[in-house]
Amino acid sequence: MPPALPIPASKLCESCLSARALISRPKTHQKLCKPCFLSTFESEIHATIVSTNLFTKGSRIAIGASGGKDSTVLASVLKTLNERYDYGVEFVLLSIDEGIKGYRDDSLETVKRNAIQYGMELVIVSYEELYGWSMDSVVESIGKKGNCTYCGVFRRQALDRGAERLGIHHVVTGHNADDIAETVLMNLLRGDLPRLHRCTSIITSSTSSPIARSKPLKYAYEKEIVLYALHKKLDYFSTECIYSPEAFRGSARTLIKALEKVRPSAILDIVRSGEAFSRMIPSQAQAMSNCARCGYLTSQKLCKACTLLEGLNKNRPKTIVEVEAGIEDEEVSSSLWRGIEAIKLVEEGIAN
Amino acid sequence: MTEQNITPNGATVPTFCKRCSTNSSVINLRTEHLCSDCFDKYVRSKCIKRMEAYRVRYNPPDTDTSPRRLLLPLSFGISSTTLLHLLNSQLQNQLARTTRTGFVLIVVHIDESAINPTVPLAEEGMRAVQEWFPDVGEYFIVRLEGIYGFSNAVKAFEMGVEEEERRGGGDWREKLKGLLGALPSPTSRMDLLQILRTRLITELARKYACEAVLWGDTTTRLAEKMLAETAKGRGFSVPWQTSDGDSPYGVKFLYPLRDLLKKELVVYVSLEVPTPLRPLCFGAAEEGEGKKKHAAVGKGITIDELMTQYFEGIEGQYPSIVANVVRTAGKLVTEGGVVRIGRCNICGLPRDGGGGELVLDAKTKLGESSSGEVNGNRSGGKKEGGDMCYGCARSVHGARPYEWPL
Ligand SMILES: [Zn+2]
Ligand SMILES: [Zn+2]
Ligand SMILES: [Zn+2]
Ligand SMILES: [Zn+2]
Repeated sequence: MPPALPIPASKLCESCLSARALISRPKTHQKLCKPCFLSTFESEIHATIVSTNLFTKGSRIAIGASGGKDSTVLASVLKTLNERYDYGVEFVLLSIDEGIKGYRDDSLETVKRNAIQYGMELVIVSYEELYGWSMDSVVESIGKKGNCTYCGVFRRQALDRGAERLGIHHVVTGHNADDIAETVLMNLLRGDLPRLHRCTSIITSSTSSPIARSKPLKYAYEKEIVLYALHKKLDYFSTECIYSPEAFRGSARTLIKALEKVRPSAILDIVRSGEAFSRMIPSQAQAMSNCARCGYLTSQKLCKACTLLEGLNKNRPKTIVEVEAGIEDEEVSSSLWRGIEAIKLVEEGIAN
Repeated sequence: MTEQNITPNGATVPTFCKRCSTNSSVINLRTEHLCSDCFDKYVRSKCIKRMEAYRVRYNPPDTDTSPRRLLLPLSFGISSTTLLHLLNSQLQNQLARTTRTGFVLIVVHIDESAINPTVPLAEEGMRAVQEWFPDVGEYFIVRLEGIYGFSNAVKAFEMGVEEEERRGGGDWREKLKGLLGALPSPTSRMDLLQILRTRLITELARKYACEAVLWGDTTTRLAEKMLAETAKGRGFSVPWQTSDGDSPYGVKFLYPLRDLLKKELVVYVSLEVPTPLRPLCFGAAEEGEGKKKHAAVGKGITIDELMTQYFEGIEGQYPSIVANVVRTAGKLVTEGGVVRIGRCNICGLPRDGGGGELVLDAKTKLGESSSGEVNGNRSGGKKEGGDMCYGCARSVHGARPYEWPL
């Protein structure tokens, strides 16, 4: 066998300086070999977890698992780190069945395989059993327009209730740096200070929920998550929700992607700015009470889910209940915001 | 320019002004059609409201009634030219009513020809403007490289430059070119250029004994700035760059046009009455009127330019969002409770946590030394960006060794 040709210095991995570089890191444009990329990605998430004291030994923590790339990468990395650094945490997969045929039933199959692959317990809670409505029946009743509002509000409570059922007080979700940067910009455009205040926190022991939420991937770039899943050959489900096409994400996302192109660090820099804003907002404690109907914490008489359900159960077809943008749900849609989302940046090629 | 309605049979009829109902309308102002007279009143009232503090002062006899000195940076763009015009008429009114004025302007144009050969001819522009507005105060042209002249402000923050070279002084123009040329990207250059401008202007304000700087920023520009600074990691400094009042530079900042949209000023300067302002906007040939061919992403566009594009879209259809962003900026309070280790050596603002966590990678986060990348900072074992705020550390990250003037 002829000896391997030496690798020219310019093609060497910038970290180990021995293997050939195969990946240009989207976050820093650093050139890395595959093992170095994987371990850098993992150790950044480890650093995030350690520096924020995110986990305590002996606790049980639920991973909100949709079968998509973010939560699958999260589950895989947490399993790896838990073993490597002996976190001593028991992770459980918690999935929500929204009741969307041709979408959720397929992605749940992925989660079931993940449970076996990662050796984690899996619990599935459905909208049907929690609310008496599946998303299919919601859409049948109100149409596709505005259905994401229902889904978002329902999901937030569903994760909490699923966790409660398991006696778990901490749910980790797959929100990444791109998501957080997008939320920061959207909250600036909306002028939503309460949410601007909390959207960058690594962990929110929310006023509206007894269950803590955290985002271990808050500094991880979406592009690197995709690369990680690819190189680790992870088993994830990549079809878009049939009721919420990708196009819905709109211009804040487009803007983030354009900024990333201009300066790759921009996503991280927006998160950094968001963290500064969080400290610059005078805290106005919002009085919370229990929902008169279901007991969930809320700033109103009825919680959002119950307000929406009331509308559904009164069977007011085609009437979209416009929920006041409160601090509880992560997603709010209204015609105005969809309009803004539709604003295009001028030139071609900006979109990706 | 008259607004037209198209009737069902295809003929066009002028729309009438909603306020006076006599003249034809020139602008659809947030759903109200206005003629040029009524629009002019509207624009003036917005500016005057923000200048409340500078009305003519009536004496308790022992008080100082000499006019207060205000610095107006004039770029010959649409906003600063409009601001000069509005303040000129405010001064005329004060004189007519009281024979005194509440303030006097120091109009300063920063000549940036050192770094941009296509900028308008400063002397010519200044002469024309001065002819139109001869009585507002004093006019000055200052070269951007003049920043090297403020030696008391030069804190010798000179990265990677040896002591001897530092003393040599050298050609300011060349120094400035070298400084900006050393930066790693167009975004960084534009970012630091803005900082240089601000620092020079505040130095000048102090030199000319001005109590405040009157910036021409519109609502739209302030919103752009809010998002651009956010994207550059400068979120912590937004209040200092967008709010009326004391600035960390030792002079007040005021934004008298903060309640007007950029698109409104574009219409305003195009009107023939009361003053044809458009010909005086020497620097605005490609500003704000849709004439400018936008650079595409990836072809040298900067973050600031990207935000300008974004808000052109938003302002057109959703002006309330633009105001929303500025209102949000106004509610942010600079961190008082956080201990300030000191000022950023570059922008001069009280710095945030600093650039120490710039890369936010595992090594930096775990406190190990960073990979020894050469970025010109040879200050021994100090963490990169230790003397800078996060935003400045980001902008000079990867720069060649250079000499920083302040
Ligand atoms: Zn390597
Ligand atoms: Zn309820
Ligand atoms: Zn009128
Ligand atoms: Zn700085």
